[in-house]
Amino acid sequence: MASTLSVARPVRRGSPLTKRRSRAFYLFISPWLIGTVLLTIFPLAYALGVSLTDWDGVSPGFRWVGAQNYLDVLGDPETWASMSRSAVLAVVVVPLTVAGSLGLAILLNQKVRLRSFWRTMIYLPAVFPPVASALSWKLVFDRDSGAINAVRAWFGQDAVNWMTGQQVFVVLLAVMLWGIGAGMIINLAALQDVSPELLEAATLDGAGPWRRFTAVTLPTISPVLLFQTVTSTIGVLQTFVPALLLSPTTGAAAVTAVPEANRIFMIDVYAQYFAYSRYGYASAMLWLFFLAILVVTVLFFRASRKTVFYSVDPSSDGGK
Amino acid sequence: MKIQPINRRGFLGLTAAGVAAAALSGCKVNTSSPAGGSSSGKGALTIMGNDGEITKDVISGWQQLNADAPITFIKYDETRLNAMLTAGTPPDLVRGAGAQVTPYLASRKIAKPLDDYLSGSSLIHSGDLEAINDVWKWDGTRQGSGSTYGLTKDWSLDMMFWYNQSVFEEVGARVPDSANPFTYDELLDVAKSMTATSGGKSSRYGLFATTPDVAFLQGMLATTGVSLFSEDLKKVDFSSPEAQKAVGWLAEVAKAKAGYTLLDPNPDGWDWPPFSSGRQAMQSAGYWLTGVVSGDTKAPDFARMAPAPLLGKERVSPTTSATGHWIPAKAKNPDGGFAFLEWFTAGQPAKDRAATGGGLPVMKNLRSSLPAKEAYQKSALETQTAEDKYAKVLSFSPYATVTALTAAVSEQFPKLVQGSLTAGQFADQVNTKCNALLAEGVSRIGG
Repeated sequence: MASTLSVARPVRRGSPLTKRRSRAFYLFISPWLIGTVLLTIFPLAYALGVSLTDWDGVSPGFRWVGAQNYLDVLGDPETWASMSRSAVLAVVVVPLTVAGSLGLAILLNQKVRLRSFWRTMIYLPAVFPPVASALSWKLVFDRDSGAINAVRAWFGQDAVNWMTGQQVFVVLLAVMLWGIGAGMIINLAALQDVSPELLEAATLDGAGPWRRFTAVTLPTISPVLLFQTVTSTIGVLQTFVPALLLSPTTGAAAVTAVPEANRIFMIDVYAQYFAYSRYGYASAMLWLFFLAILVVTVLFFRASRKTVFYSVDPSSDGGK
Repeated sequence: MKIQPINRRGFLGLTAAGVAAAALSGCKVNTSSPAGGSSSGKGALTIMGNDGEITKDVISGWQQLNADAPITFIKYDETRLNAMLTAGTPPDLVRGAGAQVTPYLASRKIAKPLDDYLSGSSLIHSGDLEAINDVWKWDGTRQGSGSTYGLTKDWSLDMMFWYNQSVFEEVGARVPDSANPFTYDELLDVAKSMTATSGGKSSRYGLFATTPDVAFLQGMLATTGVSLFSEDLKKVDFSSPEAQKAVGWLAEVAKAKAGYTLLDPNPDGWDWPPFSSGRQAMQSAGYWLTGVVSGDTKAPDFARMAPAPLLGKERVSPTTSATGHWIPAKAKNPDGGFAFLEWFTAGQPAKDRAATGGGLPVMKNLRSSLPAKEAYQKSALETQTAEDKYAKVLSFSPYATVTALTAAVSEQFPKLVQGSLTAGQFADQVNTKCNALLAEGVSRIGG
């Protein structure tokens, strides 16, 4: 392998070959680059600009208010209340998703009957569009015709209005955990990457199943678990569609009718934009949320330094 | 048929032909005026509306008269409208509830005044317009006077309601009539006696769906002579005894579960499905429901219209919508927009609408076209005619939308019903939030 490396000729910067390669590189990534600039960078910058104004989304003019919107957002107890609800949702959903999908993956990594069937059935909900999932669960929990209340009635219990009050949070959790199969597939792939030799060596050293799991399997799949934790956290914090669709009413009034238990941060943002017409304020909320998620992500990576193990040390250059 | 692949020369030729055709088509559009009215409307039109109102038949009717003025129809979507207004490419005509939107649109100069168009119209004479169209007027301080910013499609007095005659007979309740409207307390008592529950489910609600909607509250309060808004429309006051009484009534409905509320919303989205199927004894709707009742097999037998209930002592029956259309100030083709609006409001579509009873026509001369053949139609028309003299234009604030204020009230309302807020605390919370929204509006547009 060393000889392969030795025949690679160093390419000088500014040479025609380098320029040609650069041109080809930029040409190939240009669709992504254009898309990112137009659909990500520009809207972000636009929202940043709007967040510094008092624009209401309709009026022809707007007033420059500087950082006032940011100060107002931070000083508004409702911001913290909705952010807390989002945090609670993440604290409940992320561990359940990561641990639950790992548990399912471990079970379905065994030689069990109808293994492919079970894998398919558990993964299937993950390919459902979020809108379809939310609406389906809404039907399941419907007070008058839903399956849950039908079961309750069978046991002689009165029907519960699941779409109002605190209980709507239970419905939201059901929708969120419905897609657990996506994580299971990723964990399944990671489990199959665990070295049989290491497991065998651990067994020979006298390690039991739990010890093998904690000392061999978990460290090996820890980068995958980190990936899932980070992406799930970001995804759950940004939850919006299910909470809105679980509103007991539809149309323009839906966002204002979202029960308090489900008034998570993105619902609050949407209400500020489209119910209260506070475009500047809502844009400031989004930017602050973006920064908060960035901080959370950085903290996760910091915390992972001693708990996540890479087969190749990512901080090194691979020995080159 | 074998399809030949197109070559570069062919592609360029087709493109040139297309461009030329489009250019010629544009020239042609600009040389004719639409039939049916006096306005010099020309060219293509973009209309944002409701496809149940500006139907395919209406559009094809317009196209038959104005083949050179094609219509691009966009379904009403507030977010899209905002985007179009922001981009400076608004539609030429937009749907709106005149009673609620006029101060907001006019004070921001988003809507175009129609006075010049109206004074030059051969189809619409100001004396032939019902007074209800005054909801589209704004003079800078009050709604109901000043320039006209839109035209009502058709209208109703929205605090009126319909009831199921059979259910009233079943419980032996007094039937409200024009001379003796219900008070809101009577209404709730009657509704409670009609409500039936079993296993935690309501098999029948007595009352119509209620929400703490600012327009509805303002309508209730109109009978007390008090407004939610201060004289200068810059503040609301939910702590007045009258406002407390109105909000308290809504909370009492929710606690009694006598009708669908924010805490037990109607899964159908509106009153008609449960009302028509007998699961709800009343429906909150004005005269326009006549058209809906006509399309049902059973409802004509039991559906009757009642006058607006009273919270105070003054007979007032306002409209909270008066739905119609307005022309954005930056519309590319305002002349064409008005030509369509004129025809839609006073031409054949208006005659067709009046004949169905789908609302009261805004043109006085079409009043005689309203249906009065069936018993329910005759009864509804009589009730409406008796109610006419109590019609009133309410004033909403230019500084915040009714939607925004309603959202602020709706957020706090469940806490009032569940008892985590007292009536006084609720009023304070709502006042703080709504007045902050209004203050933002004041600083934005001046006042």
